[in-house]
Amino acid sequence: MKIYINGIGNVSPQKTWDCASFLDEVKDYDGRMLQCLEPEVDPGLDEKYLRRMSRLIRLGWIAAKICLDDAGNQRPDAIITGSGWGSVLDSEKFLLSLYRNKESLLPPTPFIQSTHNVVGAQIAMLLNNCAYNMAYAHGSFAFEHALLDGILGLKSGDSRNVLTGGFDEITANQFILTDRLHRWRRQAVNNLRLFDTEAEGTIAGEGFTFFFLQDYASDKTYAVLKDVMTLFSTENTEMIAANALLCLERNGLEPGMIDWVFTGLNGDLDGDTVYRDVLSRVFPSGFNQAAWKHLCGEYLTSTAFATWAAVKALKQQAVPDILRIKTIENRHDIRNILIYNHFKGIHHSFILLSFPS
Amino acid sequence: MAKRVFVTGCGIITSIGNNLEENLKSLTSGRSGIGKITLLETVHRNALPAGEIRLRDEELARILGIKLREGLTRTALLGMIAAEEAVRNAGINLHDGLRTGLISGSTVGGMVATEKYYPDFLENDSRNAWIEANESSESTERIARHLGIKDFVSTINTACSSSANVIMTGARLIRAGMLDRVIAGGADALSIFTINGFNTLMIYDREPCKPFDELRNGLNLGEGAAYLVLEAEDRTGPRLPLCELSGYGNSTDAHHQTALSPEGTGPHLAMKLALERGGLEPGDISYINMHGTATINNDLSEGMGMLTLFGEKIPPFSSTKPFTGHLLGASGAVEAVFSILSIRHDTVWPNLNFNTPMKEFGFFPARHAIQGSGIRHVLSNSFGFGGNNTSLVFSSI
Repeated sequence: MKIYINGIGNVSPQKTWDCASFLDEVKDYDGRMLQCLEPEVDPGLDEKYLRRMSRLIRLGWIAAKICLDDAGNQRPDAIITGSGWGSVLDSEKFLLSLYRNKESLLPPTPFIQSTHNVVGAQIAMLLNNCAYNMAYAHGSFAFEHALLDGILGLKSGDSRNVLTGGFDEITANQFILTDRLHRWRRQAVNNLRLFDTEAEGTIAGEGFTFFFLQDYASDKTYAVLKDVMTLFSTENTEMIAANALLCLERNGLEPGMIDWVFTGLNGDLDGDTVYRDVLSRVFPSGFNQAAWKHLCGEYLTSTAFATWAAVKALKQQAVPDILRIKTIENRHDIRNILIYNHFKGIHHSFILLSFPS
Repeated sequence: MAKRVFVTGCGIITSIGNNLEENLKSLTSGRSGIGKITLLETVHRNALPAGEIRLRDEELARILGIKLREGLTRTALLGMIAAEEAVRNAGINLHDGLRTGLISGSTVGGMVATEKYYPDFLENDSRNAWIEANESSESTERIARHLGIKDFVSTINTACSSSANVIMTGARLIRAGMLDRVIAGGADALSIFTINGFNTLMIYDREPCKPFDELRNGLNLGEGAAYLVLEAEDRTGPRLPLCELSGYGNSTDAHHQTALSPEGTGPHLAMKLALERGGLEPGDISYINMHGTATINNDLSEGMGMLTLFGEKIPPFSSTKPFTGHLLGASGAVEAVFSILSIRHDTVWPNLNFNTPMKEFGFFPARHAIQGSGIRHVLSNSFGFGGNNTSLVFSSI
């Protein structure tokens, strides 16, 4: 059975909410953190309701809504989300009120909205949808496992219309915390020149990206979702490469058939060498390389942005210059794209997407 | 034909025992673990009772034979103890070449540390070792490393239904042939974040909770962890399974972020799906281990859902939360273990603290343990914020 991606919705630091355009206009930022642009779309809700929503829920809902509208289907039979950090801002708010008010007279709303599954739950509520609802929360695997769950559901016949997505929000406080772990650049950098400088750390980011998966092609079909693989706590380059090859092989592909590799390069000196070390083993004769994190920043579910970019490339049969890192061979047809991402060099993921045929 | 999924081992730690045997003893003797909070630093110590495990983090680490290091949370320690027991109980060798996954559910996760050190996180570098523990995958990763599991590691967080969803997901991965076995469960420690959260919602009872009682007045929180070893039927070899995970179902109530619909739409749907998956009729169910948090809303909605599905023939049912308190992300796994113990020891566990039947219903929970009724199929319910409802069916083999 083939799994088709028949709808997309992306809210990011770029103007990605219009499903018909593809990075035609690119926003650049000087700083250490990128945040989402407010999407210029009608969220389909009344103003009063919209004002009460947290930013996480609002942007999550809008991304899901764009996706549902794009797919022309408002009745998913599975809603599956992946988020590494979950509801950051509301958790902070409740935590700070605990300190401020010494455990008394606390506002309940931030607590209510602090649960990791709040976006998927709110989407279900707004759609009046009683179907399967799941929330994955495992760091840099959260989106991958949401995709995997969607595949399982479709292949087992439990579902036929899956809404699945990945999202994470960055807040000022969360930036301070993670900055202490040296994840980010010491100095402000222009995101479009992220790869021009070699340094420790990268730029923080965020995004909300949804996909509509079905077991049949539609007039909207973007791509076929072939495979998802996650490798936990693996530092051995040879083993990572062997698994990447296994992922290709079990889908009847050879390295030479991969037209583009979307890599999670983020401008961090140590982290970026991992891609080179692993991929030179998988593709000894070279590969066309693209990257996405300079456009949306680094966050735990940024592979959802990469998946959006890859399926757009497959649909439009073009990889825009802004995504290109290295083109060794300009191929006329783009048939297969492999997304490879890692977190801290130990957790790795592969997502394999193909042209629907 | 999808593979059958067997449960071949379990492990548990709660306020009524540090392992399977102790939990069984407390269930059998009707001993509750709810009492005054003594370890957690909170202003509510004397006001709000909870199912606290009376062991400090150092003592938990000692049980594991490991050193307590910076960045190792209580959630992870509890999870490691229960997961380790589950593996031992199943008698499996995790390094025999079979594909093993670890999936864990947690809602509190690293918040137990974050709530202590957050001002430091914001202002200085003194507590940096705890910052990463803030991510919900932290406890899962600790458990995976402790046991040496690498093939598949994942975390689910759907609030109070988390670990029931973990068990369902584990079964689905096995049925699909992706994994041979999965260590599936959840861990959650007591935290001031959640105690204050539920207290603020005015659904935290100042007395021990009374599920399905007309005078019920909210929940008590608890802490602990539980894990099951799920294996594909053709991978258990000569080892005898404890029972089969025969059904599972998940639904959304789509009513309110923190309240279930008064008609029990979501609970009914989850139970119905679980029975259908197991090829069972309502009359086949011998016992229902209810979600039964003792909030006004949950018990009414769950009872209505049960009534819709079972009609006049309501099987024996009880909530075991008066024993342990509500373990949030771990409750589904803890109650799965209690359901399995129910099958293995042919006992319906009592619903402690019950006195007055709810005026909406003509039925009431088991007040005392019922032994020897011939338990074959046990339904276990777990419902969470966001209207997330999951039901599991465990069956004797």
